[in-house]
Amino acid sequence: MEQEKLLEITDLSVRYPGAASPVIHNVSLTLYPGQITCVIGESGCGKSTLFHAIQQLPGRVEITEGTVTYRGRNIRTMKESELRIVRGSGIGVVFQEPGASLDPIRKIHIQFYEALRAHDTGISRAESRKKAAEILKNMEFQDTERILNSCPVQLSGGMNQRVAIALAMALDPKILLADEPTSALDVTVQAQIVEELIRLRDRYGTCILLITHNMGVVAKMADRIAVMYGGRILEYGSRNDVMQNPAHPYTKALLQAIPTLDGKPPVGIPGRKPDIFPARGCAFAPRCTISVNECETCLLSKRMVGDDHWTLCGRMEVQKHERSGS
Amino acid sequence: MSVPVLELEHITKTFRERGGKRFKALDDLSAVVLEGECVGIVGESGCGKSTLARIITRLILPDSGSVRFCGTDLVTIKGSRLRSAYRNMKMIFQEPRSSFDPRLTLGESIGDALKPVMGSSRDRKDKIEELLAVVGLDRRFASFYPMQVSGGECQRAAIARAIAQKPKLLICDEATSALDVSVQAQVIELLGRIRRETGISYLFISHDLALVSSFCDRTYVLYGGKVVEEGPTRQIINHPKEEYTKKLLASVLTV
Repeated sequence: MEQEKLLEITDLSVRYPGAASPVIHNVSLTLYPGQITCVIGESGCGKSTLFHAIQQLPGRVEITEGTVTYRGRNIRTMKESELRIVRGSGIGVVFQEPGASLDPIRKIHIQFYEALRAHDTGISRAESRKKAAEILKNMEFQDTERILNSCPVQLSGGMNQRVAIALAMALDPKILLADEPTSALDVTVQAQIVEELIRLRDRYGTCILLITHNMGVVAKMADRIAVMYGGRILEYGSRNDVMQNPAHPYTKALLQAIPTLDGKPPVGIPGRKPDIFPARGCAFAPRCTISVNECETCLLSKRMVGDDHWTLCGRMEVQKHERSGS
Repeated sequence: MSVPVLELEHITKTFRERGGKRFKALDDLSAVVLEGECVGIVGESGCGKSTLARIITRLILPDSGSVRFCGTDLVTIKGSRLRSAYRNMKMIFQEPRSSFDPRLTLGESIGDALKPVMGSSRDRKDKIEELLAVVGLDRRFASFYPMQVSGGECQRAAIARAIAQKPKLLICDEATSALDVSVQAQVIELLGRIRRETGISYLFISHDLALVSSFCDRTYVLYGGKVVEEGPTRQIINHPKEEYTKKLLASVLTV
């Protein structure tokens, strides 16, 4: 059976309002129910901009080309009232700073009530409290009553992040967007949040789009990985394909730069990230060890390297052939 | 037999919280860094890592215990003796930009660090270029302001400034945590090269056990202001003895 496409991004190019050239070039990505897709990239690669484009928050970004469809409907042509329904009950959001989406001095159960009422005008306080308690219980919170009666300032960062996730889940969204949800947290708490997200997916079948720079988080929870650099997705595929058989030199270099427990020293990627993202050619070419002159000017296109695994780089294959031929 | 560069003995530090409650940030902590050694201090936020760094650099004084650096007790000495002792100990911080004066160029900041040992400004200029070359930045960077360069480049400049007076010990407090992984790896490579070339010792404070595992010879695991486990890094990673270390290791999301 063909799976429903929850969110389909097609050839999306995005620029900041007023800017001349786009910061995201021709990004395509499809999200399916129950699947965890991780967008990995270093700071300034365009991953948060992509996140803003999906949410269609006014004033943040401008889509210059391409479409974003939510369950088959183009969100660019939706009315504001329809968008309101999509945001929240269709697409829930969790941010990096656990406190950022919570009012620091308002009790948690009131914040649940406000969120639920904004999307379902009929709900009473008692009902919303019951629903909140149920979600927290499902997320295996200890003493849910104490949490509901606390303000975020009284809770730890990790607890607030779990509350923020619960709040995003309150409206039973089909998709959960999470922008670096673990980056501000300690490692042990980070591991907890990752477990939490995996459990949510298993329990509710929620589709998760997680944006992160942490390859450890990706290795633990991703079904699909999209590697971003210079405003493009350079490689996409299943976790095993991308991590075991990286098909783009950047993915390969990124994997080698990550410190691991086996004591192998991390290997740096020489050079610096691009200041402007070129509309043509590969943004990674100046730092790439196998690039040739054409890399900086050629028209990039997807090359399939396996089942549902593609890359924008043609050089890796050429290299492989040259090596096997000689 | 290696000579100890830094010896910390029975250090205790208590802070008074609002409302008069006492919070023990460090509890009878002892540690040692030998000459040419790279020692890791690993733990989560609130374990006392940064308090320790501040005590070593004497930004704050401990309640009790001693800090001996190259045989001198840093807690009791004052004035010029203290200043000359600190010439041999430098620190780099997590946020490279906030450790530079934004109104000075990187060259001027590095030059300031050289002033006590180098009187002539021409000599200093040459030395600044030499130091920048060591950390992999070309001479143009001397005229850049901190805000004009990337985080990784700024951290390199901070390293150049830190090694300007050829210190014996470099304290790195989460020195690569604010950087992207590919840049973090660049900086780690750089620190490793400086160590091989100069025989400098490092006290490497980090929350990242994987990073410590690839960089440090010996590691102290801190929890609640105490050393819970100590030993050669490989042994701690492969055969942890304490429950907390095991928990910390289990939470590292490996690739």
